Amino acid sequence: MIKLRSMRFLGMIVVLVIVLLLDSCEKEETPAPPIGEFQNAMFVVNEGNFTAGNASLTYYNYKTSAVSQQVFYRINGAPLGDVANSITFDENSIYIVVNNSHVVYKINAVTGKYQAKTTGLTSPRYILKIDNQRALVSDLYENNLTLINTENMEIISRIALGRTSENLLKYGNEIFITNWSAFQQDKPNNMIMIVDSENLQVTDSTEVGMEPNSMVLDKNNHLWVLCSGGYLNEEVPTLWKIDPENKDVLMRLEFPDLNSSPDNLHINKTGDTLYYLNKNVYRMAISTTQLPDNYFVRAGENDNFYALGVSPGSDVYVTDANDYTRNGTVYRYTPGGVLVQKFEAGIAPGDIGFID
Amino acid sequence: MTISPKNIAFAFLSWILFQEAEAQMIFDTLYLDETEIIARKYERNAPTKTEEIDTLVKSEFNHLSLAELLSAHTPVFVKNYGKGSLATASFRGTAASHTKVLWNDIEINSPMLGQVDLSLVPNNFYSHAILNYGGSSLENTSGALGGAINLFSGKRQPDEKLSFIQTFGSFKTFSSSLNMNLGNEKFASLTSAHLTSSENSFSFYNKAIIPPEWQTQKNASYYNRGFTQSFTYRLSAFNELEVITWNQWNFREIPPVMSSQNHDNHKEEQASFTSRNILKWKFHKKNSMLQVKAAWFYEDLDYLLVTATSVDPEDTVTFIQSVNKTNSGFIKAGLTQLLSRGWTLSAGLDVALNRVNSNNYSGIKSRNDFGLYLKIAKSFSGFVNIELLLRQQFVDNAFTPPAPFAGISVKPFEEQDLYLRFNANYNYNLPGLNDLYWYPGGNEYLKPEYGIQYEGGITYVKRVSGTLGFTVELSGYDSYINDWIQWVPTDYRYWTARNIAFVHARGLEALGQMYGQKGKVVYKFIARYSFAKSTNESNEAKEGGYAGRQLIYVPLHSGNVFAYLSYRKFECTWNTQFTGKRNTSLNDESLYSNVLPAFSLSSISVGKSFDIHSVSLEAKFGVNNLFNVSYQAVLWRPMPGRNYEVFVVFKWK
Repeated sequence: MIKLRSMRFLGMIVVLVIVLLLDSCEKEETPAPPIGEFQNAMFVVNEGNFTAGNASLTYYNYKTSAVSQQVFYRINGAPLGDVANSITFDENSIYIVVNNSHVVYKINAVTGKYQAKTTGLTSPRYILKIDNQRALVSDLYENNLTLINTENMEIISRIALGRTSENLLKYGNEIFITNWSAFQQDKPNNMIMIVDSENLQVTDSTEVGMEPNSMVLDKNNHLWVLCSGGYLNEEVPTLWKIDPENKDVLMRLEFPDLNSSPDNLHINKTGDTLYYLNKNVYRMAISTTQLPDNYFVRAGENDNFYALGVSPGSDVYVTDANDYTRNGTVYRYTPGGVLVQKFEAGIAPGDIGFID
Repeated sequence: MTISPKNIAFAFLSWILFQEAEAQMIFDTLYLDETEIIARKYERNAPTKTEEIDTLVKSEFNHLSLAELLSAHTPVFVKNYGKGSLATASFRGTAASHTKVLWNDIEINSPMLGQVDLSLVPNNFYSHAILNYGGSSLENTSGALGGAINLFSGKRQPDEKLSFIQTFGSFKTFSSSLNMNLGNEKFASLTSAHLTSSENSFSFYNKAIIPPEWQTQKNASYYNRGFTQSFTYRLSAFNELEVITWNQWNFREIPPVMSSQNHDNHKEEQASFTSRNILKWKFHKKNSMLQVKAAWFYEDLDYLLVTATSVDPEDTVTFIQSVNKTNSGFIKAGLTQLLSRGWTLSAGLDVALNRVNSNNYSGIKSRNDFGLYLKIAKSFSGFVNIELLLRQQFVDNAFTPPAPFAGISVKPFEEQDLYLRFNANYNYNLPGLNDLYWYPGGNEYLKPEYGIQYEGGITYVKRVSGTLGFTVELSGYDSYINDWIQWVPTDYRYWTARNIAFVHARGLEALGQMYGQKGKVVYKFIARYSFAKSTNESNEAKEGGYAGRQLIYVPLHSGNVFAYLSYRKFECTWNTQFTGKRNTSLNDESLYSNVLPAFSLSSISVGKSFDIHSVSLEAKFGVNNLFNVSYQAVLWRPMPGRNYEVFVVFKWK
């Protein structure tokens, strides 16, 4: 009797163990449908959560309105990394700067396949191609820019800037660099640094408001710089219009609310209309001499507008980061401010880019 | 080692009883400090689910931490960032702060975080562990919306004077555990010491970078060193005085996430020292028992993050040092009185005074918590037991609403050990001091989280013969937690704590256990399965479209199997743990970064013991992660593959 029970019992163990082992052989993930070639591509770079390694890339075809999530992972079999910050393009490639993975990935602009990467960076933020073979990478914590070879993505050299760097913009033979963060520097963060694109030396600088966070060039070749006024709202936010030739300040507009933090300055393709975020989405013509009183798109009570983009066709895209713990949302508006589509992106959608 | 009723007995004996005669036995048992099998009977009879960790299982895990023991052998889910790293426990689909860990009845949860790092609790520092599921925790503590784990260190193995375990493991992992019992009828001394350290430099295939490559885990070493000491003195036949102290020094490096491609200029580490000290007086006479405990706990926890630029390792870019010192004083008094006709009355007073000095708070913050409870139990001829309990807290000069508990158990057949139980309770969990005072984002206006829980269960125990027996148990619960605290973003640049979620947690827990002996073969088999569905049903969740989706890092399915077999002086143990898939975000996607796949881990150990007079020597060899499963318990945190351990166990009886 006992023998029989023992046999049954042993059988039970064997069955249970087999069941548990089989369960562990469960396929690791659900295969996703192929993405195909990028066409009419708009990308959303999703930061993910700090130290969670859940950054991702969303691809949206702005002609067909088809959305694909996690395209970097699905194409390359690896996550984008930890806190993806920005996306930049050249003719053949897409460059994605992943801040807390300390890496810049170069992927194919049509297939999305991995091509090369730059490692050994401290806290990379943005990348700017300065000629056919080289690019500069800005850094939140370093007082240097990093010069890389965009063929193999290897580091060529470091360029002393004396300050940390954020946005990069090339005009003529000069590169304009915002000094957004006061962290890791002993000087106030209220400068546009200017580096010569030939000899790669700092040649000039111009003072703006505290914490310049974004800049664009308009059709008249005027540089617009948006400053949020400092981490602790030390001064009122300001919008600056600068002549990049002689660095003269052509206009300085103050935001009325000291506690506001406007950012995400963008311009349409024709270079005549500015857009920015200040809780709501605002729009202003470059010819205007005052800040708009009325919003272009109003943020709802639960909206957390996080990034902005203006398509080649001048549609306006705004992301909503929700609560940063679940996927964000992208809203697409016509130039007239009519909502035409709403779709999901990844966690903390923080940058938008278009392949023209 | 043989399986006898004594070996499988429970050392824990609740002082809440339902029958006068049996109660008297319990008191005697407590007094004599014996471990007797009779204990189990009362627990089964209780309207709540309370369980002791099997002593045989515990002895197999004595060189490891509570985190490893719980995940291998209980339905409690342990979220583990890696060996030696942070590990927290959650019962029944709740959060880590809803699990209270008590040491000799006094809560060791950090007043700041509200949770306990179980990787810092060595298993040889306590003699037995009791799990109080759901409402059964209310008798000992408040706020355990999921459940409580009570560790008792004051009980001795009467036949073991000295035991010493030395292990040598893969990745330069070493541990030494010592337990020593001295004493006579009047006086007893128990000493435990534990040293463990590891370089933790395992290899893993890093698929989080392109191109993927084999890497060696860096910056992941740790050590834990500590001791406990208790002295017990019997003042008279009715009085006993005990002093217990637990002192421990811990250090760990915190490795970066797998996708980080700049390991070298990064240093993140945590060092802590804890000292926990209890003075206890126990009086019992006939049908009365009174216990008074006074305790002082101190914790010093330092966190350091230093990163440098990639150009110059001396050029520091991030330097964050968090220094946190916590002082807690406790007074706990409890009286149990057995009355006639099956009535039992218990009452208690709990005082907890916490004081935290942290550079993350503006100034020193404190919390003064006073609690009272009253419990009435009635047994109707042993077939029906009823318990009613009411707990009331007074925290920082304000009353929280009362927390009541009511439960009933029924034994329908006199001849069969079949028990049915049902209970319901209301419970409050105070926010952690970080939730209240962390700068920035702490919210002083947070309300306590409150939970309502219903639980039912059935237990059937069959002892076929003196050498064969089994137990089957099934429990179900349904609980609702309101004002669940979450950190959410604000219009400013930091996050803040808010009472935001409304969580519905429901599930099932099943246990099957069998033990027996056939000739010289002794075996034991324990299998568990847990189903825990836990979802946020708040209005925010409904509007956000994620209501009804399983909470992150709560597996819907989990289970474990433990098997033990011995023949003469040979023994073999097998353990398999199954963890179902876990969401890492609130989004309904099946890709890797949103859902971590399920995994099963198995380990096996074989050993042989040698007896030389009163000395027993045992050599053991163990393989962990036997099938070399590649898995992640937390997203993009690597875990070791197959690894080995050699044990030498020395016992002096």
